[in-house]
Amino acid sequence: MHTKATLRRTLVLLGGALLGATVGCGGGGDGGIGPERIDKQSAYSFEETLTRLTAGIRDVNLVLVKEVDYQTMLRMVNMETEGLRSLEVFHPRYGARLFGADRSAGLEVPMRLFVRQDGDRAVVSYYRPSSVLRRYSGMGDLGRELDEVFDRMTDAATR
Amino acid sequence: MRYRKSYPVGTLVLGGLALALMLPAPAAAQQPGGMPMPEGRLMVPSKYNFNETVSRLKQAIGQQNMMVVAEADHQAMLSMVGTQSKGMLTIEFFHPRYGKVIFENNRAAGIEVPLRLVVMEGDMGTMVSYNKPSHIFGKYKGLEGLGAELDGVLERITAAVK
Repeated sequence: MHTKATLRRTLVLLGGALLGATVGCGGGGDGGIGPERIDKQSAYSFEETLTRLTAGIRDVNLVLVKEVDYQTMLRMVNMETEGLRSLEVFHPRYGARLFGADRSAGLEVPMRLFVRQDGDRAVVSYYRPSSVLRRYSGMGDLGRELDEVFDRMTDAATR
Repeated sequence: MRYRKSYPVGTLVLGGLALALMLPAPAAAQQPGGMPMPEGRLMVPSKYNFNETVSRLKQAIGQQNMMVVAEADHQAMLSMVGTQSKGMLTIEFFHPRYGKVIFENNRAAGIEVPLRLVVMEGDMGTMVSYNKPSHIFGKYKGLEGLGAELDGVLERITAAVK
């Protein structure tokens, strides 16, 4: 009986320790919480959304660094899909601030907008910049500023 | 009369929890600014200089039957705004055969591709940084196997600079 009670107490203590270890450690610099994804349903067709988004990128003074047409790429492996496009955007003036604060954030730029056709409409997806950059030193102001830029740009394309 | 002291289970759990929280957490890899690396981030030191590292990585990408889709030369971009920096290049790569897996199983994951490697020249040498594919795709239902497969591909690519 004493052995069973001792074993039970030991198991409970170990369980508590394991729980504490899980709570205490978290994961990486973002505490295990990944970036926040934003999906905006567009009121426009896929093509119209792309046109508006491209204009919106210019209007907020960003640079369209690269555009990837997945629909065309997937045809290379005999797959027909609806419209799928990636637009990568940024600007050197933001780059100077980003790299000046923390070079390891270089993996996050250019930032990506993903546009996919959804019936006769489209969805524009991206990761909220502040949620991406909060994992690096000294990026608070830049993240918030880019949040506003991305909101303006994508709202203009989808509303 | 025998007296047996009994401990409520809740007390024992709390005691264990308190003990565990007092123990130091395992050290996480740190970025130069002192913050831990984002989860899933890997940093690979290269034994070659910046240009040789870039060249070897591109060759290795082709050897793994992947395609370089784009490059972003951050050093050149920063010089446009009068900022001098050491070498810094993003290489984006993928292959439509993997794209097919993504778009057949969970097209929301399309935002995660092409994959990226960043090559950074520093005072201590050249580093290659990337996000582990299993971490990227692990959050998408149906793509766990793809993530594991691409982990191996990235390991073989970055082995070219070790």
